[in-house]
Amino acid sequence: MNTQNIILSSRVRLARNLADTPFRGVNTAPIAAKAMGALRTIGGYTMYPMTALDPLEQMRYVERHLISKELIDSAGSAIIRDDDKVCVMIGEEDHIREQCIMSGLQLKDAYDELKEVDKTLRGTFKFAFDDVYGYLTACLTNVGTGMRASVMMFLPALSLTGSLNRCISGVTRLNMAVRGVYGEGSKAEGYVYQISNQKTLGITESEIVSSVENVATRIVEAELRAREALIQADPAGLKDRILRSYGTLCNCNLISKSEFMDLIAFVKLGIYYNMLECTDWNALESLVTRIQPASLCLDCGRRLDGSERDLARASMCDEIHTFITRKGG
Amino acid sequence: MLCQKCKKREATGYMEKTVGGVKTRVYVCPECFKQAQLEMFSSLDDFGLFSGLAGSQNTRVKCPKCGTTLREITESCFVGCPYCYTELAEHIKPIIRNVQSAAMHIGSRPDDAPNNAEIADLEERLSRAVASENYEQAYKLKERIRQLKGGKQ
Ligand SMILES: [Zn+2]
Ligand SMILES: [Zn+2]
Repeated sequence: MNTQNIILSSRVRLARNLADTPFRGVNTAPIAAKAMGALRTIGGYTMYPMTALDPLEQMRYVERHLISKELIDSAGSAIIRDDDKVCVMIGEEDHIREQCIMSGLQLKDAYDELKEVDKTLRGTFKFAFDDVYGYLTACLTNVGTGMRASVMMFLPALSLTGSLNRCISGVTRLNMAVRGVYGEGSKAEGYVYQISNQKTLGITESEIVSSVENVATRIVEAELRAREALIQADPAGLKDRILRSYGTLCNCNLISKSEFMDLIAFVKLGIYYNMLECTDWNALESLVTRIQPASLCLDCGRRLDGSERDLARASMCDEIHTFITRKGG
Repeated sequence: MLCQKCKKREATGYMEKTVGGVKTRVYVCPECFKQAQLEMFSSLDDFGLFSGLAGSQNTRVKCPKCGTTLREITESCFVGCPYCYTELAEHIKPIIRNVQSAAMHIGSRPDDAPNNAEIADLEERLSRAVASENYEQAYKLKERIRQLKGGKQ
């Protein structure tokens, strides 16, 4: 079973705050400098104060899922490890948010990576901790472990067969939250969803990791069953839609982000059904990031308006045929 | 009896709601029950649940360290500083219970020591069980404490 292409990535985040310090209205620059000094001793880290970045560069980090929009709004700093897997946000909702992002289903590994980061920062700062409530956080929804474990999942078949809502209500009953990763509001672009734990208190870190892992695994099974149902319901129609999606992506001159996200989802389905062949899955995933507005502008070296972006995005799609080809038959 | 939420269908059961520390029953139909359950789990952002707490007196109750009022906390679920947790302990406790369905941290500690909070709670329950001569319960608690103390070494 290829969970890699259904579970796109795993993320673990720990919220930490300094003892005796208000959660808001503090100058966090000295905290960032001190954290940077400590992290430097355990690996290659670079600090990016939001105030030193161009708005496009700020947004590119959001598009790469490394930082949150809130960090930009609060003019905090990001300390990012050279491999882009670990990012420590300073001055977001909490003073410190340590996070580790890995591809596929690797929540346990991501948490293990964070333990070292947390230990290092614990040696530098005195964290706000209470024997009853655990790690104290700005929002009561994070208190205790301060831990949010999440997986980003690609669930086209559950959506297309109309079983996603049933799946979501099952998941929310297990105290997990589901939200679309791309697009605004309730409409999830590209069928990509994030599933994360809600509960952070009265549960241990390893229980959180295994509960999210279990739910993710069950959703993978449901998605695979839905993919079976989808192809059986209308094999010719589905193949047509997949091949047309591929054809359009490779042969367009203007393409919006939402159209791209929809078509690339069908291309990925085509790879799953062996109608298309992909020789470089990483190139495919990175393309999804590169066509996002800010990343696209930076790639072109200047700010582009809407239609200029659609043009640039379409020309970026020209490379798709170099790593995705149509299978014979 | 008519469902108290939609006032259309027949109520078949009730939900218990705690508003301002007072438990009340709301009689509902199966549809509304399901809806309420979903809403409760799907959005921790919906703090309408606590709006009953945000009375006028709660603007006077505030954290002496940072000045955040209890009303602000109940409406947003955000506290102002680490001391809010201890200074407003009696007020914050029920809110945390509502949000987290738990009252105590049992995860890791900054000093890497075993989590004594869970053990202490169990020991307190053990002494109560012994006092009320509930020996079966006491035995179970003793076993669990032994596991925790042994298991984390
Ligand atoms: Zn009703
Ligand atoms: Zn306070």
